[in-house]
This record gives sequence, C-alpha cells and structure tokens, in this order.
Amino acid sequence: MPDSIYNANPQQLWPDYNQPWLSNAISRGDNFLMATPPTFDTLNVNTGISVLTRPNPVTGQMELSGFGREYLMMRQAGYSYQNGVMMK
Amino acid sequence: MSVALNLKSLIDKDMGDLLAKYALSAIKVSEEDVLLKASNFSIRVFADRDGVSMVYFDTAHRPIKGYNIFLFLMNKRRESLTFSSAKPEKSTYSKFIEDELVSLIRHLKSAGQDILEGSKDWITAYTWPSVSAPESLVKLMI
Repeated sequence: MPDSIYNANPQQLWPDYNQPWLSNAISRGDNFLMATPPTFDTLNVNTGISVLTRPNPVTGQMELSGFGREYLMMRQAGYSYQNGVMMK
Repeated sequence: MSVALNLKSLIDKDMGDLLAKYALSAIKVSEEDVLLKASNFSIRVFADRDGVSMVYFDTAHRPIKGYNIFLFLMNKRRESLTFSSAKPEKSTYSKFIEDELVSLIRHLKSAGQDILEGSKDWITAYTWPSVSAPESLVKLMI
C-alpha cells in the first residue's frame, strides 16, 4: 500500500483498501502466509507489546493493531493458524 | 515506511518544555524515529501506522534494556492519567500522530516526571518483557 494513500486519509486505509483486499482473498479461499505468528504472546520487538493489540494513549483503551484487525477478520471467516499459514 | 511526517519537529513543538526542564537532547534518527537522550537513559519515540510509541532505554545497564513507558503508566499509574472519551479524527497521518504524541507527553507530565528525572526505581515494578536496543541506536545512546 503506497504511503501516499495512507498519508492522505489514514482513517480510510482499512475500509477502502485493506478490508476489501482481504475480503476478496478470503472469498477465493486463499491461504495466507504469515511472516509473524498471530498470537497475543508474540511481541513487537520494538514496542514490547503484543503484535495483535496496543494501548491507545489518547483513549486509554486497548485496541487492535492493523495486524490484529486482519487476523480477526480471517478468524471470523473461519481461518485458523497452522505452521505459518492461515488456512480454512 | 516513508510518511508525510517530521516527528522531530512535532517533538520540538509539543515537548520543548520537557526537553529543556530535563536536559533531554532530541536526536533525529529518521522522519518517524527520534531519540531523547539524557545522561543515564534514552527514550526512543517512534511512529508507525498504528500510532506512537515511547520506549525507555536504561543506558547505565548492560546489555541496554528497553521498557515501554505507556504500557507501564497505563497499568501501574492509571489513576494519574487523563484520557479522551472519544478518538480524534484521523484527518491526516501527521495529525493522528500528533494527537498520540500530545497524549503521551501529557501522561509523562502527570505520572512520569520521576522517570524523566532519572529515577530507575519504577523499573522494578515493570512486569512485562523488556526489549533490546536496536544496534543502530545503541551508538547514539552511549
């Protein structure tokens, strides 16, 4: 995803690009190779926080990371993680 | 990631009083990565698509270990923090990042002044895994 698209309106990245792309791939039944294990105890090496969630400093609430959103969407579509791959 | 952001400029603008008060030197690592350097610690402030993070590195300790400041404050000193009831609009990436940065600075002022003063006592209450300092930043920290 070009950064220029994200920079112009970060709020629309998920509904306009990530979500439709993932939805199309899911509807085809694609498998997804995962570079990072999607587990709560997998930590971001830079932040020390789970790769799936993060505490929002503005609201004080835990929220899904971008990666966490993608993982949740795949789980809701019936995918599970096995040996580096999200598959049905 | 290449972004329309100059985090160092935002830090100079929004955090200038803290930089002066605690003699922190702000070193630009990249457009989205800044190191705040003191005599016995450094704080890495960096932005990505999820938001802004602040990681404290104890540079008096070998190996240098990092601790997520907001993770600590939110869990151990939450009663001293003030949050917004609603998420601000992500109108632009720079605005989104500045909103997060301003919130983190407010939390540091209300609940983290001992950290900025150089106290290390709080680290004993940090119960999460520490992070390693990136090699590229270690040279800037020491």
